[in-house]
Parts: sequence; C-alpha cells; structure tokens
Amino acid sequence: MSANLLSNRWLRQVLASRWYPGILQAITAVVFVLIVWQLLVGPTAAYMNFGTALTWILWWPLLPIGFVLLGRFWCAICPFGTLSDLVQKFVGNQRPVPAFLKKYGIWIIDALFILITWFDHVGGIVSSPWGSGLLLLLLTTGVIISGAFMQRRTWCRYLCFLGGLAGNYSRSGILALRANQKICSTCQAKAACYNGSEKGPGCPMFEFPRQMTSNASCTLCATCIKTCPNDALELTLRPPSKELWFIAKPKFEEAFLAVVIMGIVLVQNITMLEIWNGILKELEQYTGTNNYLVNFTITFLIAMAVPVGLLFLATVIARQFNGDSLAQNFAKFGYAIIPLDIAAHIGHNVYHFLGEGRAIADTGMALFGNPIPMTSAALVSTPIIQVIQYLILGLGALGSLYAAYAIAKNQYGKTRVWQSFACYAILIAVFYLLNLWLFGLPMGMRM
Amino acid sequence: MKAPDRLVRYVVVLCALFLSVLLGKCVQSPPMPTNMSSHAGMVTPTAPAPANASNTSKDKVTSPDSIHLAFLELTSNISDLQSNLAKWRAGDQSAIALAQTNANRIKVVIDRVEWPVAIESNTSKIKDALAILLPALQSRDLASAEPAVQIIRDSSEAITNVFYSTWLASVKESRSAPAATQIVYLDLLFKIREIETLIGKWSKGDQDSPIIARTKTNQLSVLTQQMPSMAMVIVLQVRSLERGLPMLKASLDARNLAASQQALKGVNNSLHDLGHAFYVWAQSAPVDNSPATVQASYFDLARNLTDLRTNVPAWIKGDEASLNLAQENLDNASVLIAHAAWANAIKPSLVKTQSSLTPLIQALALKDKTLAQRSLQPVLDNSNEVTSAYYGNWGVLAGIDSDTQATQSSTLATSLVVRSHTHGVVLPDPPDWLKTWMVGVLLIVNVIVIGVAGFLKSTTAKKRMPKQV
Repeated sequence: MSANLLSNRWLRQVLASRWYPGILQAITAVVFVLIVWQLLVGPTAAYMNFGTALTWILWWPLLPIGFVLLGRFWCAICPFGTLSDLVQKFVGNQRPVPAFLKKYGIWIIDALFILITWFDHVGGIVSSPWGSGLLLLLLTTGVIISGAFMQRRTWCRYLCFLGGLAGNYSRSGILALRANQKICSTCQAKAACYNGSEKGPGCPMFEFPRQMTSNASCTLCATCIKTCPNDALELTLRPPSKELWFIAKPKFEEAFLAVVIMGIVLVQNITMLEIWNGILKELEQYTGTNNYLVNFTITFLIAMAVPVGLLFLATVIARQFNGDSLAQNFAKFGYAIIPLDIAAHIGHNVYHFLGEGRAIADTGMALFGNPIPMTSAALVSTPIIQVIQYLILGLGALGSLYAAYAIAKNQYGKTRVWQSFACYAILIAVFYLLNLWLFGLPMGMRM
Repeated sequence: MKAPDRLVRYVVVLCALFLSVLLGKCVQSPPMPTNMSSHAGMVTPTAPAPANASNTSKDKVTSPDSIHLAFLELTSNISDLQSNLAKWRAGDQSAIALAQTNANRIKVVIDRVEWPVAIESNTSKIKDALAILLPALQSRDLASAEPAVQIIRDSSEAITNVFYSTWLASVKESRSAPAATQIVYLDLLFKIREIETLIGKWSKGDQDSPIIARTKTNQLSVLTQQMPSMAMVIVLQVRSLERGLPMLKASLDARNLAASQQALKGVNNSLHDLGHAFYVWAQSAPVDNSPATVQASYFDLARNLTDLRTNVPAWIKGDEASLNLAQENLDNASVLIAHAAWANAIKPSLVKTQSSLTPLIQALALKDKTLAQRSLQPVLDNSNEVTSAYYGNWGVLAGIDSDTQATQSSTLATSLVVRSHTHGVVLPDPPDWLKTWMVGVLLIVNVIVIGVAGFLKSTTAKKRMPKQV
C-alpha cells in the first residue's frame, strides 16, 4: 500500500482548511464569468474570442488529463458546483433526490453527453462563441433548478453531462481518497462524513467514505477530511487504471458509456480530417441528400454503434470461454476500454492544445486592444505533437490491455484468463490501430 | 514487487511506447506534395484591420491583401485589354471603348498601389506603356496601341512570375485571415478557369496551352499554401483541391489531354465544394469592414453577376444545368453584399442591385423563363452601376481616401433573400434581438426558480417553527 499523503502536515492543513476549496472555487467562478461574458458579447468569430480559447483550447484538453492526475478534483472547484452550493445555501429546499434519478441518472448523463456532442457538430457549439455561451447558460439554469430544490450536489452526481465521463476517467486516476477501515470500524461519530457535523456538511456527492471503493464520485473536496473526528481519511497514490482491475459491482451503463466514448472520440477525429468530405460524399450517394444534419447523424450513429457492436462481438466470443453471460462480460470488460478512451481523448485534444495553444495568449491580449498576430498558434511543431499523440495512445493501449488482463485474472482465476483476455485484447488492438491511423492523418483545427 | 521484475516491466512499457510511436509513423499519411505541414492550419488568423487603419497617412494601398487583390484586378484587366485589342484588330470597333475602360482601370490600380520593390520596375513599364496606349486608343491608332499592349503583357507576365514565386510566400505571415481567405479563393477560381480555357484551346490544337497551363498549376500549388487556416471546412476543401494538383501536373507534363481533362474535372469539383464552403462561412461570418474584404467582395460580386449574364440565358435556351449555376450565382451575390461593410460611395448602387435580385431569385425558383428574362436586365444594369461606382471610388474602397465612412451593411444583410446551403457544419448565429431574447428568457426562468424556491423554503420553515406560547 502506498504512503498516506495526508501524513504530510502541510497538505492535511490545506485540505482541512475552511478556505479549501473555496478560494479555488472563487477563482474559477471569476474566470467562468469572464468566459460567459466573452462568449455572449465578445467577438463573434471563434478565432478571436478569448472565451472560446479558454474553454476549448485550454480547459477541455486539460480536463481529461486532470481526471487522470487528480480524479474529479475539477468537480470540486467547478463553477457550476459553486453556483449549486450558493443557491442551496440561500433558497435550497433540500428535497431528496428523486428515485428515478438515482436509478436512471447515469443513462440520463449518457444521453445528454451524446446529445450535446451531436449538437456540437450540427449546431457548431465549439465553433460558435454564442453557441458555447448558450450551452453554459442552459447548464446554469439546470444547476439553479437542481440546487434550489434538491439536496447536495444532485446536479453533479446525477445530471451533469460530464459526470459520466468524469466518473469513468477518474477511475483511472492516480490519487485515491479512502477511509481507513480499521479506524472506521471503531467510529462513534454516527457517519459524520456522510451526514455532516458541526464541523461541516456531509459528503456533497452522497458518498459514504467508509464504504467508498471508487473514485467515480469523489471530487477531493475534502469535506470528509474536515468532518471526520478520527482522521480516518487517507490520500494515496496508486498506479493509473488500478481501480479498473477490481471493479466489485460492474455496471452495464458505465461500461456502455466507456465504449460509447470511444465512438465519440472516433467521430470527433473523423469529422476534423480530410477523409470526412469523402465519407460525406459517399453517404450522400446512399442517402440521396446533401443535408448535413441527416448525413452527420447517420455517421454519428454508426460511429457510436461500431465500438458497441465490436465489444458485443468480443463478449459473444469471450462467453464461450469464461461462461459469463453477455451482459456480465460487457459490463466487466467495458471498463477495460477506459484507459484507451482517455488516451484517445487526450491525444485528440493535445493537438488542439499544442497546435493552437498560443491562441489563448493572443486572444487574451486582444482583450487589451492588442491585434491578434498572424504568426503560428502552435506551441510545438506537428511532428512533435504526433509523437506525443502516439506515446499517449501507446500508454492508453497498454493500460487497457493490462486492465483487460487484470479483470480476467481477478474474475476467473488462473483457468480462463488468457482465453477471455485474448478476445478483448484483439478488440483493444483494433481500437488502438484505428486511433493511431486517425492521428496520422492531417487534422483541422478548432479555432 | 521485486526490483528485477519492476525493471522488466518498465522495459516492456518503454518498448511498447517506442513501438507505438514507430507504428504511428508507419500508418501516418504520406507527406503533402508541397512544403505544407501535414497539420496545415495552425496559423492564428489576424483580426481584420480596421478601415483606413494602415493607409490613412499614405495615399497608396500597402496591405498585402489589397496588393494581392490589386494584382488580380491588374492581370484580369490586362487579359481583357488583350482580348479587346484582338477584337479591334479583327474589325470590332466597339472593342476600343472597352479597351479604354480596361486601360483606365489598369491606371487606377497601378497608380494607387504601393507595389513591392521586386514588382515596381514592371509596374513602371506598364505606366509608361499606358502613357502611349491611352492616347492611341483615343485616336484609334492601332499601330501605336499594339506595341504598348505588348509591353503591358510582357510586364504583366514578369509581375506574375515574381508574385507567385517569391512575393506571396514573403507576406503570408502578415495577412488578414478573413480577407485573405476570400482573395485566395478568388485567385484559385480565376486560375482554374484560366487552366480550363487553356486546356480547351489545347483540345483545339494549340500546343502552347499545356505549357502555360502547367505554369498556372504551379501557381495553384503556391496559392493553396496561402489559404489561412481560419475555417476548418474551407481548409479541408483546399486540401482536397490540393490533392488533385499532382495528377493535373503529371498529365500536363505528359501532354496527355484526356488525363488532363479528367484531372481538371477533379480539381473543378474540389473548387466547387470550396466555393460552397466559402459562402457558407461568409454567410455566418461577421460583417467585415476591412478595405481588402470590401474590394474582394466587389470583385467576387462582379464575377457572379458576370456569370449570371451567361447562365440565365443558357437556362432560358434549354440548358437545365445552368439553372443551378444561376441560382448559386444569386445566392453568392446575396451573401457577398451582406458580407462586407460597404462604403457609402458604392452603397446606393448595391441597394439597387440587391432589390433587383429578388425578382430574379423568384423567377428562377418558379422556373419562370419569361419572368427571368425580364428580371435579368435590371440586375445587369445595376451591376454596371456598381462597377462604375467601384472604379470611381477605388481609393475610398481601398481605404486610402477618407471622405467616406464605411458603414455596417446589416440592413442589406437582413433584408436579403438568401437560400441557405445545406453542405455546412455550422448553423448561423441568430440575430442579436433573438440572442437578447433567449438570454432574457433564461435569466427570467432562473429568477423565477430562485423566487419559488425561496418562497417554498420560507413557508416550509414557518410550518416547522414551534408555536409560540
């Protein structure tokens, strides 16, 4: 077991401080206001808009990296969470989370994520500052409604469209906040970490740290560290993706999201490549229309369906060897795709960050009247970006392969490991090669 | 874990990563045929320069975009001048007046542009030749006009050579992206049309044409490098066009007429798609007040209206394919009128042109040939007025004369009947009033939610309070 980082006095004091994460929340809230202001009333061209640059060139690429390094820490300082807390504080009715949200929340999140991605392509959210601004305003309204009527961070746990992605990616995170079971077994504090105490509220994400085995809903907000009277919480480092190796209760919907994200990453890549025009033209032949909405929607559905179908195919073969049902196989091994998801997602966004990163400074300086220069917006050269992309993808593929192996080993012991693993290893290799090929093609930019 | 085991694992991971990079390089697409980066489009475009920003202290055009455009105007007028002279030589006296117009326009452009040093000696030669040509045209002296036009043509070729071989590349970093996108698109369009004409001549036996077409194809390659990476959809289409050029070059080098025609067809298709992408972008782009955009929009508008002059009669005569082309010309014209912030000097003629477009749009939509014939003439008349206003106010439109304020053409934009293209990615932003309305509705909803929640909270709290005794 790795050392407890909270034994570092300084770190414990920071996390236990009443200013944490408040100060960071305040900073992100200010930046959020600036972004919304820029998106709604700033330059209408994306390449000139500071809000677009901050959102889609800086924040969006850094987000998946953040999930790997710090788990869902972003959710602790997310301005939407802050807004929800504020609304709750002043007018919150603290009603319990509706049963249907608890039951179908992840499906709602999956559907919202897919819907927003689809709409980005047909409506141009990323390429239109106004579209991005409107999306943020719509989310703000959702957050206010949730905060005004429901308990804790219902929005973040059950409704935020990024919640599913954040939960899945954070499982691969290298930081884990867990309770020391030995100490908790002697606890007399009536679950202060969940219920709250005079030292602070209960876990905003409805987690009971004593029973928490996953990073999926932990935002590292440190509320439990503040309320625990026994100092039972431990913050440890672990190998990336380790949590995926030991999922006690795999959920079909989470595995489904993992494989759908692969489809989303594929479609994100494909639509920015020059082959996209050829694909569109081919489709136009079949559909008989050049309506982009129709043709993109068909492509989108196919891109979603192909990874799901391939995983399904792998489960059909694997069940012959391991004896589990299709749903069990799907749910158990879908998690193994997550490291490759993250790698493909980061790899795609690395291009935007490193290839267009200077646009952040340029558009920022433009706020003070400086003209946007004509020089390259790239931070590093294209070959370097590609090498970085291949490295990230290689790491992701290794992570996925090892996760598939570890899942098979932990589920089936020594007898049926290799047969089960082989089916999923082939699937992971297919996804890996597909992404590798796509990263090798010239890609368009975001701004 | 034992240390040797750990070491083995690290080595395996490192080897796998190395393999990943190696594999990535293997599956990577072949490099672009030119020196373009495989991830083209990493150039941050500049914001459009404000009107008159760079030229207020001078009386000449200095910005690279305006010079590029002036070059197009110059070469296009010189080409027309040559053909008008040929007509005159063949006995067509009406060509003299047209040649005079060309010569005057060449003079305007030559005089009002701060030409690059490498080009200046040839523009001086043109200027000197014009001093002979204009009186010759006035006095209908063909013998004096012909050598002057020959000098102008030779100088134009020399300018073109310098322009594409060195000058364009030297200014790429200092261009304004929105204007450059439009100008490069126009230049590509004109070049491809020229190549089309040359291959047409070649098919009729002219053996010089493939040589010239080959040079023009090289110029296309230079031009594709100039397209700013502003809108992804445009860049993708430029890449598609670029991919067709090696085949065209190869077939021209091999003097294979059939292959050249086939290759040109592919390039033309890409150009058509590029046109779609460009107009979709222009439709959603903010109104641009840079002089280069205004001039480029005029140039493109004139081009579309000239095409309309051919396409509408062709459709009336029975060529159904020309109907779509004419409708595209009308769409493009509407988009272009709305795209630039026109100066007051040209606005009245544009308003007239715009109002004359509507009946023609309706006639084509209804496929009413009689109405189309009737509606075409006012468009052409008004377009002539636009041209007169343009050349009459060249300095104003180029941003070097300051007697006119460029104004936003939102009224022109909003009143236009523009059929939307479906081959795009981005929906246009809603108008400002709708944006305000939508933000207002969301804010009101938020306020209502907070109000209701606050009310419910207070009433629930009252109920829970113990009765005071």
